Amino acid sequence: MKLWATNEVRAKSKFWYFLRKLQKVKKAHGQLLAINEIFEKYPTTIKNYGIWVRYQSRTGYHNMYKEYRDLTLNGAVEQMYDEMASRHRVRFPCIQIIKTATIPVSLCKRVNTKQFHNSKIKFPLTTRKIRPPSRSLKTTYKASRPNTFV
Amino acid sequence: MVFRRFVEIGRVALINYGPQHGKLVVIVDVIDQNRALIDSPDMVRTQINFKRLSLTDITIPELPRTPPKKVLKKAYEDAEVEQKWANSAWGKKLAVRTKRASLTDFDRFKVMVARVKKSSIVRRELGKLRRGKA
Repeated sequence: MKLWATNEVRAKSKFWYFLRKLQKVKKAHGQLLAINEIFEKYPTTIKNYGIWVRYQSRTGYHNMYKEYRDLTLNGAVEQMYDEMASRHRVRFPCIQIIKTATIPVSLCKRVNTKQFHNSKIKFPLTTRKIRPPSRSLKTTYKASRPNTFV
Repeated sequence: MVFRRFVEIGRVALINYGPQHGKLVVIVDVIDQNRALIDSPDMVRTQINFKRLSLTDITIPELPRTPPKKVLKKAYEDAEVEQKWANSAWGKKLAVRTKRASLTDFDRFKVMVARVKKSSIVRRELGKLRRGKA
């Protein structure tokens, strides 16, 4: 079973949560054989991830399909959790990941991911926030107003 | 307001925040609205947020999307990125800044002596001009 958790303890707990929904077995009656972290095979290539999610909202359960562009599956899942929290106010316990997949470019559905499928992509950075190169160099007062044009 | 520096594949940028501050990198692909894949001949290809990048005027023309490291190295050298950077006003300013920051006390003494010497020559000439006018 593939699942996402911040540490091993939580991963084992989530494992039993899902297993109870699939089989009539509880942690007390079962034995966990192995827990392995899966590392990204190609963390330097950009992939389009599709994530199928089942989540509980205030009024019921819903399914969703979301697409993310990221280097790693963990990164995409993290993006998904952040987005669900911000857009739908759904927190981690109420989200179940049904399925994840890397989607080939031709099958991507969302315009937001498809807009980056351009080998001659080119756009300006319209505003520039000037900040000191480290937090220790931060000052409360500046001598002049910042210019945020590029 | 016209935009002159674009995020594009082959654009050379300077990392302006974080542990790799001051490094020149090449944008090799765009992940999404906020992040780019960057690469440099001496670093592992990573992602970085655009907020940490300052785009430069230097581009590597005709760079394919996510090129293999060898191709990138060759294109980096062919486009003479390091030389263009060292000759640019921005690059020179940064070089002066790093040099100043790395001076030892003896170096600062030498700088002071040279400054005093230069200013004394200038003032001598100025005095001559003033006396000549008066």
